[in-house]
This record gives sequence, structure tokens and C-alpha cells, in this order.
Amino acid sequence: VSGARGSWPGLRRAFRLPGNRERMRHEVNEELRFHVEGRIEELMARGMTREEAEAEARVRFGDVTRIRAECERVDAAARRQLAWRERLHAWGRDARYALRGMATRPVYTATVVLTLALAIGANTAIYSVVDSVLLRPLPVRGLDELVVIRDDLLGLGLHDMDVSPGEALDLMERRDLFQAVTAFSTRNLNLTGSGEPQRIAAAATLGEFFGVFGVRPHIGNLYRPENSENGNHDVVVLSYAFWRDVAGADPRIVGTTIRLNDRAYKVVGVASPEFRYPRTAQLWMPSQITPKMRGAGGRFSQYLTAVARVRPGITLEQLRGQLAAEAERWHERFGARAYNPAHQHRMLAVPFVDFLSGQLRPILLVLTGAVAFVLLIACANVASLQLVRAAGRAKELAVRAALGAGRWPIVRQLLVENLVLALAGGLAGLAVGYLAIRLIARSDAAQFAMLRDVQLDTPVLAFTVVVTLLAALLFGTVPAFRAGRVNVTEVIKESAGRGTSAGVARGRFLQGAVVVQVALALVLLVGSGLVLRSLSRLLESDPGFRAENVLTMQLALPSARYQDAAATLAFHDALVERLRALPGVQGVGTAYGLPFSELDNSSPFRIEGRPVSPGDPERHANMWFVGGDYFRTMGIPLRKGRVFTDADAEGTQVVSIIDEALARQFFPNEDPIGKQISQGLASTIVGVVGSVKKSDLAAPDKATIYYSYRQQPWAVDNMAVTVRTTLPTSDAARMLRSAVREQDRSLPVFDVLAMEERVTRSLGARRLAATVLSGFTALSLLLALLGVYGVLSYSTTQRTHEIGIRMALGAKPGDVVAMVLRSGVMLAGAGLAIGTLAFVSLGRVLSSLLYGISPRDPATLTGSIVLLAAVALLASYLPARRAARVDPVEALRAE
Amino acid sequence: MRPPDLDLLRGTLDLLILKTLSWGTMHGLAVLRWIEQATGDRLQIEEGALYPALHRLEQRGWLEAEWGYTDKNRKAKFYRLTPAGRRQLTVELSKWARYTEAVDLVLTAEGAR
Repeated sequence: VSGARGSWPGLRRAFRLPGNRERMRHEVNEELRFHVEGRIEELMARGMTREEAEAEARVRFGDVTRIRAECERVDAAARRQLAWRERLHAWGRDARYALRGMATRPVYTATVVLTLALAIGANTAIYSVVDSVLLRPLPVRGLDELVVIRDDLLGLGLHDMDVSPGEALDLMERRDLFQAVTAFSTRNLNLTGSGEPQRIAAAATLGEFFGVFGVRPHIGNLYRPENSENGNHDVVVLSYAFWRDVAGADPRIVGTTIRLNDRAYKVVGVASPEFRYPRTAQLWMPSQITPKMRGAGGRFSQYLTAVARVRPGITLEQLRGQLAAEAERWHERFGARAYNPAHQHRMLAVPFVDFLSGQLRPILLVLTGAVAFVLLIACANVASLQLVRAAGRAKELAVRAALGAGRWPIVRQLLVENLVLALAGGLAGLAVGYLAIRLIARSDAAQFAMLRDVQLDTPVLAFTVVVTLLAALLFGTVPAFRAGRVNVTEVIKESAGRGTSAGVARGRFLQGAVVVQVALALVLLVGSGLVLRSLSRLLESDPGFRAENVLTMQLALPSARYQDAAATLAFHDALVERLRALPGVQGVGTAYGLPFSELDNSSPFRIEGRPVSPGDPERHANMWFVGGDYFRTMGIPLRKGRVFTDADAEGTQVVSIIDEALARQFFPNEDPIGKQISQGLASTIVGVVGSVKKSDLAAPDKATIYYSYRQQPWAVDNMAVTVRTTLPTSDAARMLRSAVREQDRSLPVFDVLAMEERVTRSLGARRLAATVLSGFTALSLLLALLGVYGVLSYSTTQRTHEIGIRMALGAKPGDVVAMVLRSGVMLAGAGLAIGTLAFVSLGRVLSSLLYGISPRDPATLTGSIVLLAAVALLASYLPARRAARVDPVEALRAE
Repeated sequence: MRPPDLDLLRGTLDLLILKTLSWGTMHGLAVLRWIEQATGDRLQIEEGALYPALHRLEQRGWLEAEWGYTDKNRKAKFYRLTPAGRRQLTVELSKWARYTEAVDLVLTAEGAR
């Protein structure tokens, strides 16, 4: 038997394994050839001719091509496996090395991780809000097919209004445009029967409400569009939350009845848990279609939100054209009584998602931009830190390069270090983001119910991972590849303190990073300055009433029990008397039409003897009913005439009080007292009071007419009670509740809120924007400060030698300080100039958040520049002082 | 030549290679000759099939391979058993023993009366 036997070390080695692909093929070939040739020799030794032996050996061996291929396949798989194992091993080694390195430089590591954590956390939080408000506000299939149909009455200055029932019913006929149409209004109802009476929110729907949103029942059934027409409208579908919280999640509730406003409704089912629209609705019920709705009479009041699922293939543009044509047909059919041409009625379609996000949309867009800036600043900062550190370890890398490490292993090692840093930052950022989300959900702005649903779910996690990797790419790539380009001679020269091209390039990158940071920080600073000043102007603005020490609440008299005016009035007067007598109460008023509440009512009015000339729009005003000492309680000043008295009772001449806005607009140069007006209700003006803001401190005053509740007790079933008291809110609220309960045990009191709180809440979105922007700005200022400080420290260290020479030649410490400060100011100046230019071109996106201030307000811009320049000077001062203490002898000897 | 039962052959071939190499380091041809000699040429193997088997066993870590020179100073690829390969051989041997035992039982069983 031939072949090397015995121990392995005795074998004389031929060449190494494994090699590249070519070598592998070659080896397989060699191995097989060796076999066949060995056989041939053997067979020839047995007496065969060469030809015979070759033929015999081939037959015995079998199909060479197939066997060779099979061997190569096995070897290739082995090679791939090996290569992967080696690669993983290398990355793992780099990661371990990186972790060890991080542990030995705790300050550096903590700075980088914290910077990244704050930036990534801020991005996570903002994205999660954007995701739940703008991207996926409702878990509904085909959300982009949904539109909301809105009415404009341009002639009256009314925009984006609900539609009337007649219009909604006509839209439902347009099967060519829509797959399904619904229209609904929300209302509050008294739930009685078991335990405490409760005020609950219901949505009364027309058309295919559940069809439009694709709702499925959790248990039971959903009612159908026909329920609105076949007399079968006393049915409700409960929301999952209501079923769980109020009905105790008892499935036997289906088929039973509940009492709402003293009327029985049959529960037919419970909607699936994820469906919550409208947000506040605890149950849904069919609205009854009356014959009046289909005629001209069904077109006067716009109170329905119409949502439609558009047929596939119809664009928003086409839909708008079709709606304009439909509106034309209505104008012809119902004439000027329903559609006064002067009102310029117009119908339009708005994407449902935009409609939902409403006020939050512009704010979120601004915050998204701001948070991207924060990330950029953080990345620029970390990149500079890395570069400075890379300069410090240039020697280590040069040694590795000199020992034969290729460029790629060095770059790879640095990239892995960056990845490890970024992942640590990302992980900490998730924690920061989680906390931020909790804070947002509990902030003032949580009046936007959508913000309460914000959570860290899978899409948000995915976003965070992407941002983390993006950050690693942004802050890590340039320093890593730069460091990979190690030039051994340069490093040795540099360590001798001489300027090199690498040093110059590094310095330039660092300066660029600082300029970018200062510029972005300035944009954020000016932006948040403007938003903050707008907010403080709004807070200082006069709402027209004195909100402090006023407590408000709502109650509703069920029409089933308070059927006639006498019963209602008796309740009203008794309640006012009872509350007046309470200790600590200085005034009691009642109102239908309360500022900063949902109680509002608006309709056209006429002035006697002064008809509207044809072609002019109708006159429009809020129609508010007040009782008790409403004006005195609210602190609304009387300008002229008198307020209502107890003598203005039912049966006497109907009187009204107008506000200054109406007086200015319609009685500019005359005394309105004694004038006759009619708002569906004829009255004589007896007084003029100051104007109040209705729901938005930033909005212009709107004309309002007040009537005495005591003269029209039947006009409204819902009313607000306002009480002026110096008692603490919670005590006063408890007292009011028990006073109402003593009067009527089954009457729920709801929406109990200090008037100040109502005003504050109306600013919730602006407050959120201001708070978040200020936070981002503070962070970016801190980072810019660190950035300027880091770069100047680095450059003065690099210039120690030069400074030494200067001082040896007679420069004073003051000159050195000035020199360093000058370079700091130059950098900051460049950043400020670029930032100013950027803001001038970007500032307009802020205009929706501003009030009483121009986006180019020079004072804010100047102030911001001064502040940021001061920060830059502060950051330059420490390195400057250190430079001034350089001992020329030491500096020169160091060479 | 009828094609042999592949599954049986592959498992058996692996066992034969492991067993043969347990005697020492050899190149492929030597492994084959060893088997031929030991069986007195009674076992006909498609010689080429030996090599994919060797490579596979190497990939599994049961064999190690290195290029070296034969006594006649020819370059050849030599294989030897690794410790893992030696353990595998024990496993395969006991499997084989159980298998032949079972087959034997069937073949020597008395027919039903």
C-alpha cells in the first residue's frame, strides 16, 4: 500500500488549505487525477497496455465530470460556511474591543450615548405622535378612500362647516361617486336606571355609518341604515369601552334596554374594541329621518359630519367637480330661501385623515422638522467628538497599520464601534422616548383625545431602529473612513507637533460641523422664541371676561320630565336661588352659549326697518341665552343701557343685549338701544356689553346677541351654570354637585371646570408646541456649546507649539486669549449667518403657530443671535484661558 | 453493472471510510485499495463515489485533509480521522451492528408453522 502513513507531523506538506475558488477546483482535479493515474500504473504493472489500463481505470472510476462537480459543490459549501464564521468572529471581536474601549473612556462614552439618546428619544416620541395622529389615526381599512364633505358659506365668512341633513341624504343617493355615505352628530344624553345618573356621549347616525368605517360587531349585531326610516330607531350599539366600563362586559346586555333621556333603547350589539369614532362616542344610535329633512326645511341648519367612502378611481379633483355640480342643482331646486346666493354656498371634500388631525397637523409638521434638526445637531456633535478622539488614537491606528492591518479591518473596527455606540444610544433613546410619550399624553394638549392613544408599538420601534442606524451612518462614516486612511509618516510628523494635510482636513471638518450646529441651533432658537412670544401674547390678551374664580358646569334637563316652560323655569329659578345662598358664592349665572365650551348657537338676524339689500349676505350672530347674574358673574362689562333683570320675565316684551362687536359692525354711528331686531325671535335692544372670545383667543370677535333665559326657557335643553367663588375648585365643585342633586336626584352634572382651565385648554396645542420646541432648543444650545468648546479645545491643543513661539516672540496672554476667542467668534458668526438665511426662507412654515408676531420679527431674531453668540463666547473662553497659560519653554521643549 | 442501492451504499461507504482511516492517514486511492484488499475484491465500488464522500466527511469535521507527498514523491491529498470522526465511527459501528443483527434475525427466522 502506497501513501504516507503514520503520524501527521511526519507528512511533508505540499501547500495550504483553503485557498480561493480557482485553487479549490485545481485541487479537486489534482486529487482525482492522482487516483486515476495511480490506478493506471497499477494496472500496467499487472501487464495491461497503457490504452487498456486507461480505459479500465476510467470505467472503474465512473463519471469524472459528475464526481468532480459534486466534490466542488461540497467544498464550496464548506468554504462559504468558513467565511461566514470568520466574518462573524471578526465583527464579534471588534464589538468586544469596542465595549472594552467604551468602558475605559466613561466620560466620552456617556457624552456620546446621552447625546444620541436625547436625540433619538425625541425623534421616537415625535414619530409616535405623528404615527397615531397623521399616519394611522383609526384602524380602518382603506382610510385614504374616506373623505369628509364640508359646506362653506363664503358670503357669511363661514368655512369648513358641517352639512345639513337634506344635503347628507342627497349625497347618499350618489352611488356613482361613493361606495357608502354616512352623516352623524354627537349629542349628550342622560343615562338613568342603575346607580348614579350619568352623562354619556352618543353619536346619532344617518346612512351606512358602520359600512363606511368597516366596523364589525364584537357581540350581537349592528343596526342598519333602514333603522332611520322604518320606525325602528330606538336601538343602540355600544362602544367596547362603554360595554366594559359601564355594563361590566356582560354579554347578556344584548337584547336588553337602557334608558337615555327617560326613553328606552334596545341594545342590539357591541362594536369591536379597536373602533373608536367619533372619539368621545360611548354608543351609536340611528337618527330618525323626518319628511321635513328631504325638503327645503332640511337645509337650514348644518349640524352633521358627513363621511363618505369614495369609489376607487375617483380622484379628489374629480370629486370636487362633481360636488360643485351637485351644489348647483340644489341651488336651482331649493331656490334662494334655502341657498341665498349672497351666502355663496359651496361644497367641498376634505381627506378624512386631514379632517381628523385638524389643529394638530401644522404643529406636528413643525415639530417633525425641529426634531430632525435636533438629530442632525446631535450627529454633527458626535461626529466631531469622534474625530477629535480619532486624532488622539491616530498613533494606535498607525501602529496597527504599520503592523500590516489593511484599511478595511481598521475601518470595520471603527464602524463596529460606532454601531455599538449608536445601539447603546438607541436603547437609551427608547427609554427617553417612552417617558416623553407619557408626558405628552398627560399634558394640556391631551384634550386632543388622539394624543392619549399615542404608544410605542412595532412601527415606532422600527422607526427608532432606522433612526439609530441612520445616526450611526451620519456620525460614524466620515470619521471611520478618514481614520482608515492612515498615513504612517504623517502621523509620526503630527505627533511631533507639525501641521500636516490630515490635520488641516480634520480641522476643516470639525469647523464645518460646528458651523452646521450653530446654524441649526439658531433656526430652532428663533422658531421657539417666536412660538413662545405668541403664546405669552395670547395669555396676556383679554378674553373679554374675568376667568379667575369662576367655576362652570353643565347640566341638561331631560325633555321627558321637563316638558313645559313652567317646569323648566321653576327648576332654573330654584337652582339659581339655591346656589346663590351657598357660602362663599359671590355670583351665579346660567348660560346657553358659554365661551370655551361646546355650547354655541349661531343664526341669521334682521334689523327692523333696515332690510338687507338683494345681493348682500344675511346678517349673522351668535344667539346666546343667559340667566341669573351672568354678566356680573363672568365679569363681562356693561357698556351701555342695562343688563337683564327679574322683571324681564315670560310674557313681557322680549329684550336683548348685544355685544360691542355687533354694535360696531351694524350700528357704527348710532345708539343701538331701543332698536328692534329679529333672530327668528323679535326683540328690543336694551344694552350693550363687551365682546368675549368664543373658543380661540387668536380669533377675531364675533357678533353676539344675548337673550334672557327667563323669557325663553324652552329654547334650550342644555345649560351651563357659572359661579363666582373664592373657594378652592374641588370644594366648590363638590358643593355645586350636591346642590344640584338636592334639587333633582336624577340629573347628572358634567363638564365641571374652572373657567381659567377652559381658556388654558384652548391653548393646549400651542402650549405643547411651545414646550416641546423649547426643550429641543435647550438641547440644541447645549450641544452647540459643547461643539464649539470641543473644537476650540482641540485646535488650541494642536496649536500649542505655535502659541509657544508667539509667546516667546513677545505675545501677551491677552493676545492669545483674543486669538482663540476670535476663531470661536468666526465659527459662530458663520453659523449665525447661515442660520439667519435658513430661517428667513423656512420661517413661513411657522405662521400657523404665531399670533401677533411676524415670522421675521427682528427683535426675536436679534435676541436669538445675541444669545447664541454669547453661548459661543462662553464656550470659547475656557480653551482661550488654557491657551494663555501655555508656558513657551515647555511648549517648545515638547518637540 | 446494476446500480447499487444508493442509500445503503452511502451510509455503508461512510462507515467503511471511517473504519479504514482509523488505521492511519491515507489518500483516497489508498483507502480504496485497503477496502479491496480487506474484502478480497468482493465489494465492487464505483471508485469516483469515494471522493464526494471524503469531502463530505471532511466538511462535517470527521476527517482532516492535507496535501503531502507519497513514498514515490507524488503530490496527493491525505486524510485522517479527527477525534470527532473517531467518536462518529463508534456510533456508526454500533448502528451497523444493530442493523445486521436485525437483518440476521429476519433471515434466520423459522417459517410459520
